[in-house]
Amino acid sequence: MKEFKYYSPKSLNEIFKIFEAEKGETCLIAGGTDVMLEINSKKVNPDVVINLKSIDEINYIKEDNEFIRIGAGTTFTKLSSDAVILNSARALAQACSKVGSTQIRNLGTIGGNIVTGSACGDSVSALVALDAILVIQSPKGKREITLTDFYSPGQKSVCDGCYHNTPGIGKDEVLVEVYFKKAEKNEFSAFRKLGKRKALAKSILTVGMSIEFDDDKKVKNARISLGAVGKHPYRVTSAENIIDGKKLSDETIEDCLNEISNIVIANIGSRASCPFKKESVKGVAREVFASIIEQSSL
Amino acid sequence: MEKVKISFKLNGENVTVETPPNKRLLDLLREDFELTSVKEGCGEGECGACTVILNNEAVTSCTVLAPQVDNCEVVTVEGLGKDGELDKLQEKFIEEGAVQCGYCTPGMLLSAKALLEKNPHPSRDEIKTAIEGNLCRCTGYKKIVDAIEASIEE
Amino acid sequence: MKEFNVIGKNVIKKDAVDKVLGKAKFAADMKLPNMLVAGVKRSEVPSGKVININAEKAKKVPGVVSVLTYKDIPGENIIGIINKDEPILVEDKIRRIGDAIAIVAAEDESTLEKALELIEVEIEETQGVFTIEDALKEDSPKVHGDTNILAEKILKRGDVDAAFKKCDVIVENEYSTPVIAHMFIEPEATLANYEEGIITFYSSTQNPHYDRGEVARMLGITLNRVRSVQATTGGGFGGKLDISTQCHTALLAFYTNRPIKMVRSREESMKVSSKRHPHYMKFKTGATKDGKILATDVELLQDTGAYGSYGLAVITRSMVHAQGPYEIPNVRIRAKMVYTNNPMSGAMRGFGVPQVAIGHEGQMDALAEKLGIDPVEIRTKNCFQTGSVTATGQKLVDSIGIYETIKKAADKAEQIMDKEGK
Repeated sequence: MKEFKYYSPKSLNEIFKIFEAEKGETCLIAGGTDVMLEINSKKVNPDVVINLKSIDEINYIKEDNEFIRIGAGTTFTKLSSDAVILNSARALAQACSKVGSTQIRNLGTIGGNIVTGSACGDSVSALVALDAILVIQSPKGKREITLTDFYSPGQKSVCDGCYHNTPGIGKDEVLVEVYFKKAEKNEFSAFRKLGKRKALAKSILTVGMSIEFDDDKKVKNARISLGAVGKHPYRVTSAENIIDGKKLSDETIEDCLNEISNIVIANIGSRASCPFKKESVKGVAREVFASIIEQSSL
Repeated sequence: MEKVKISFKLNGENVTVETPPNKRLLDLLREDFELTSVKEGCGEGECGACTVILNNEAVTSCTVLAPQVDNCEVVTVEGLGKDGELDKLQEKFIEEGAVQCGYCTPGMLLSAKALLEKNPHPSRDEIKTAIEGNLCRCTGYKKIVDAIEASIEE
Repeated sequence: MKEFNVIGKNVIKKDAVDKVLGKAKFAADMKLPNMLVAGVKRSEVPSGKVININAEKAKKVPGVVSVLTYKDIPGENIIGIINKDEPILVEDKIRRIGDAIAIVAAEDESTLEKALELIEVEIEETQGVFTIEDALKEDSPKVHGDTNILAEKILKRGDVDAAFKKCDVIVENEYSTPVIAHMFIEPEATLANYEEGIITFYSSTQNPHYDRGEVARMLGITLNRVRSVQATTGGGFGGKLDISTQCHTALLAFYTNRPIKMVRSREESMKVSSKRHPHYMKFKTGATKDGKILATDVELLQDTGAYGSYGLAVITRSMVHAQGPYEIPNVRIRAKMVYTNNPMSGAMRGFGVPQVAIGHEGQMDALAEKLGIDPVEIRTKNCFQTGSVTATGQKLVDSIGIYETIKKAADKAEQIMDKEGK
C-alpha cells in the first residue's frame, strides 16, 4: 500500500480545513469496502486519506416533515433495519439488505455507494426510484442536486472500481446527506436484485419501484428504476407512463414489462449480456410489482 | 511516513499503538499484536476469514484501515471464552464437527458471536445470513449452522 | 447391535481445540527470528522468450537481501509430479501468465514490493496456443518439445462398430467442462530455514514427501539434508499437491542463511495454482429398444495447460470412468491430453472423473428421452451389479452398491416431491 498522510477529523469543518491545507491527491474513506481495495491494488494513489467514520454529524436517519434525511455515513446495516426506512421507504431497506454480506453491510455506507458511481450500486437503484436528492457541502456552503443529475450522461464509471472524484462531485466537496419524500398513505415501494448467488453477489440487474395509488386503486404516480443495465441506475419514464392512471392488471403490468425490456435493449443492445438481461429484467420487475401489490392490499 | 498513535480496546484490554496509517486492521492485529487467528483469505472482503468484531459488529478486517479503529472496541477469537473456558460456540463447533481445515473457523465463530450478542435466539435463516460473508471450502456449511444453532442458550 | 468404542461414535477431531482457539499455526502464521519475506517476479505474458533479466536496480534497494534467477539453482531446475516439465525459475521460454522469473528476499513487505517492481525483464512475446484445436494443428507453436500432445491413449472392449449396427437407438452428443479453481481458503505459504547444512521448510501442502524430493534435487543435496513439514493446511482439494512456494523459499534460505517466508496473495494463487482440466467430449451411445446399452464410443480432449502436473493420472482416470457406472459390453475410449499456454491443470477432486460424468449421465438422459422410458429405469437397468465386467476387464466382485443407491435416492426424491405436492 502506498504511503500517505492520515487524518481522522471530528467535524465537516475540520475536513474543509484539511482540504485547504493539503495540496496532494485526497481520498475520503468511510466503510472502506471499495476504497481499501483500490488503494491496495494501486488504482487509487492518495497522498492524503481522510477518515469519515469519526464524523458523527453525517451518521443519522431522521424524519423531517414530509422528508426522510439520511446522513451519508449511515451504514447499510442501519438502513436495512431502521423502522422509518422499513415503513416509509421499503425499497431502500430491501436494497441495503442485499448489499455484499453482513460484514460489508456493517462497514459500507450509503454515501460510499453513491459516490463510488458504480453502475450496479444496489442502494442507488432504490434511491433513483425514490427520487432522491443529494446534499453536497463545501467550504462555500451546501448545494443540492438530484441523484439523476449527479449521474448525468457521459460521465465515466467502472463497475468494479470507484471514482472518488466523480465529475458530479468536486475536489473540495463532501457528500453529506441524501433525502427524499416519505411514502404517502397509498404509496409503496419495493426493490429486487438479480445476482449469481445470495450473498456477495455483484448485481446482474436491479429494479427499484415506487407507486402511489389513488382511492380507486389506479396508479397516481409511478417511478421505476433499473440498475446494472447502463452506466448508472436510471428512471424508465416511458414504462412508467404505461401504467400511469391505470389499475395494475396483469395485462397492464405485462405491457409495462415489455417496455422495460425494450429500454434495456436500447441501452445495452450491443452487450453480450443483453439477450439474458432483456428477458430476466421482466421476471425481476414482475416480482417487484407483486411485492407492491401485496403491500397495497394489506 | 508519519505514524499515527491510536488507542482502542482489544479483547477487553485497553491498548495503544503507533502504526503507519497505510496498514490494514488485519495486518495490525497479526503483526503488531500477534493475533494470528485473524486470517487473510482473499484481501478484498469476500471470504470473511479475517472477520473481527468491531464495536459489536462483524466486519472484514482487510477492508478496515488500522487507524480507523481508534477509540473503538475490537474482539478476535483470542478474546472469546473466559478464564480458560471455551465459549459455548467454540465447544459446539468442536462437538458438531463444524471444524475441518480450521482456516475459516475464527471468522465463522466471530460472525456467529456478533449475531448471538445482538439476537440470542436467531432462526436458522438468520444464522445463515449472519455467516453469509464467511466462506468455508470444506464443510458445506451444514455442520457450522448446526453448531451455531446448538449453542443458542435456552 | 454391539456397542463399539469408536465405531458409531462421534470422534472429536484431534486439532479442533487449537483451531477454535485460533492457535493452530498455518504456515503464514509462523515466524522465526531474523526472518525475511519473499516474493516472485512473474511473467505477464502467456508465451514468449526471455531476452534479458536485469535485477541490478532491485538489488540496490536498501533492505533487499537476495535476488535469484535460474542461474543460481545449484541442482536441477525442473519439477513435476509425474512428468518433469516445469522450471522452478524460467530459463528462456515463457509458457503461461505467471511463470516465475526471479525471486526476492527482503526485510519487509514494502521493500519486497519495490524490489519486484524494479526487476526488469525483457521478453519477446511469441504466438501462444489457447485452444486444444489450435494446439493440435500441425504448424502450431509448440509449448514443449516438438508436439503439444502430452499423452494419447485408447481403451477398447468388444467391437463397438459392430455393436452399433445392432442398436435400435443411438445418441450422439458433445459436452464440455470449464477450467475450475479449487479456491482452497488458505493461499499457499512456506517458511523455510537453512541451518547446519539442513534445509527445513513448513508448508501449506498436501504432498510433503514429494516437496522434499523436489527441493533436494533443486539444491543438489541428499534427502537426509531436507526436512519437509506440513503446517496446518487450509484446504487443498488437489490444488496443493504441486510445488507452490516450497522451492523458491528453500532456495532463498539456502543462499541467505536466514529464515524465509513466502505467502501468496489470492490473486497470485489464482494465477499459478493448478486447475481442473477442461474437457471437450464426444459421446456416442447405443441401446436396444428395451433400454439395454450395447456400445459407447467416447472421444476426450483435455487441456493440461502449460505443464503436465497430474495430467497423466487424469487422462487414465477419465478414460477408465468414461463408461460411467454402467455395464457396457462394447466400449471404445480415445483420449488426448494437450499442452496449451493456458493455466496449468492438475489434480482436483476426482481427477477427470467428474468431467466425464457430465458426458455419460447426459447420455443416459438422452437415451431415456429417445426411448421414452424413465431416466431412473435406464440407469437401474444398466448399472453395475456384482459380477459385472468393466471396460478394463476388471470383474467387480463385491461392494457394488449403485443399484440400491439409485433406488433409495429415487424413493427419497419421490417422498419429498409428494410432500411438497409436486
